[in-house]
Amino acid sequence: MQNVFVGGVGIHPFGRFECSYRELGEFAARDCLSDAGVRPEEVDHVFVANVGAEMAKGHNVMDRVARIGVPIINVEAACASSGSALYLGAKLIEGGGADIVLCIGVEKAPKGFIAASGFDAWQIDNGLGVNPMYFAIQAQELIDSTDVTAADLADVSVKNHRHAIDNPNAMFRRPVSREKVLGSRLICPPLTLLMLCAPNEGAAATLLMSRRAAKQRGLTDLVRLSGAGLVSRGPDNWFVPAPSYPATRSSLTSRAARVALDDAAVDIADVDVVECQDTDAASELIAYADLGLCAPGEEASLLRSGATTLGGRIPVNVSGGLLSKGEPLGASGLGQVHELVQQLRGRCGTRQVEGARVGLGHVMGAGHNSCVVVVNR
Amino acid sequence: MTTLRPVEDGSLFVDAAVGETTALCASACAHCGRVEFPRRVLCPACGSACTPRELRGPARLRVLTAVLAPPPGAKVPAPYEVGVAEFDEGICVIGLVDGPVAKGDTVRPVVHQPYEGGRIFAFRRVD
Repeated sequence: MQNVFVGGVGIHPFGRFECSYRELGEFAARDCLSDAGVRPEEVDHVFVANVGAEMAKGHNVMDRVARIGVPIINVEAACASSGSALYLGAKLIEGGGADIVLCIGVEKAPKGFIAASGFDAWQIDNGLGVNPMYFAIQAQELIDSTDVTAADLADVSVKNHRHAIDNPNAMFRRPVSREKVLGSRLICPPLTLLMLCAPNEGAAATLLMSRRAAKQRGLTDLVRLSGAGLVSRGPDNWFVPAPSYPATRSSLTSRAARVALDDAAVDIADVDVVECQDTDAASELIAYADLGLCAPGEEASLLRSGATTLGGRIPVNVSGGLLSKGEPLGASGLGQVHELVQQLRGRCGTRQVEGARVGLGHVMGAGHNSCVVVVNR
Repeated sequence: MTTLRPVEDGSLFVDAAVGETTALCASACAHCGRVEFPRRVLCPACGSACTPRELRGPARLRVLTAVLAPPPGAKVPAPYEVGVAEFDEGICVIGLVDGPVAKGDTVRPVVHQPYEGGRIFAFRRVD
């Protein structure tokens, strides 16, 4: 994509709050508009990502911001909802259909296991409609097919929690030790509580702007949204809620990454900072190979080398990831974009990736779908 | 115009008494050979017609995990184990397990009653 720029980003911290989802969304939208220096009435089009709120949620969020009368479209794609909203906004601008698009992601998810993930009644009745059970199956297969150990899974959580210490938008900002992660409550073997992200509440927003609009405003140093790949389940992919999978399956994330990197004309080796879907610790390791950060089988080596830790060659989840921020389903992808854009602007303080010029965000959700985006200076 | 036919009777497994061995009601694509469970009328990969295929095993227990806290809506009391059985037909099926099993065991599907009034397939070790 040549013509899509990030005019501004906004966020409401992720956590637990005594306010409605509408207020969370309003907060992020206002934060974003303020960051962009754009008035609500200048927005051409709004996409609002959310999974579990109510009908016309985006309309109810925007009603609190301003009644601007433009199209508002609600987007739901499980954990890839806000990635999908951003994808739509970017494609609309690239196709010449709008100059300024506001994308908002918002969620107020209840505590505990996520219900209504698309399972059939027989799966739910018989205890097979359980998201972390799916993550555990992936984790077990990763351990069986590579040299990844339970200690490596713990170390992903240790790394991301350490990254989150200085992120005011993260829910869990205390460091944890490998022993504490391994010793936390076992949920679905081999995954313990601290290897799993917590569904929670929060909101994030991104204002996209066409090249023409940026030029008219004299904005010459914006981060560019250069690539976006959104894919859904193919014959050889498997994830929540499918009850079976082919003995040999392929990666949905890999396809999304290929589309996004090709779109951006960027090689994965040129990416400086990655935010990926660490729904659980194993998912981050699986994403290493799927995104092309390492070859399949080298996930543990990459982690152990420190390459994916802040200060390493290719830091992953310097925001703390979902393991530390928590996961407000409809907002997680735009939360990643918020972090990546601030990294590219050099505004991340102690967790700044020095000289970051290219960022990659990755979300994956039930259904099954995945969105990868590339931003660069 | 293609008319969609109903999916057989929608059964997941061949009915039998609790504890008896059973077969999973899968399908195989007449064109590309892909096996699907639950059964499909048309192949999700190539769109061709599928024919019924019964998965009886023996299968290999490829993954063994467990659910240790009660999930929303489940009638099965937690904790309980969950396995993935890999069949020679090239498909892996997620299911409950019946009796003691270990990863790598040879298993077959049996009819299982995981809660009062419930009836579902599960994987049991072949001795």
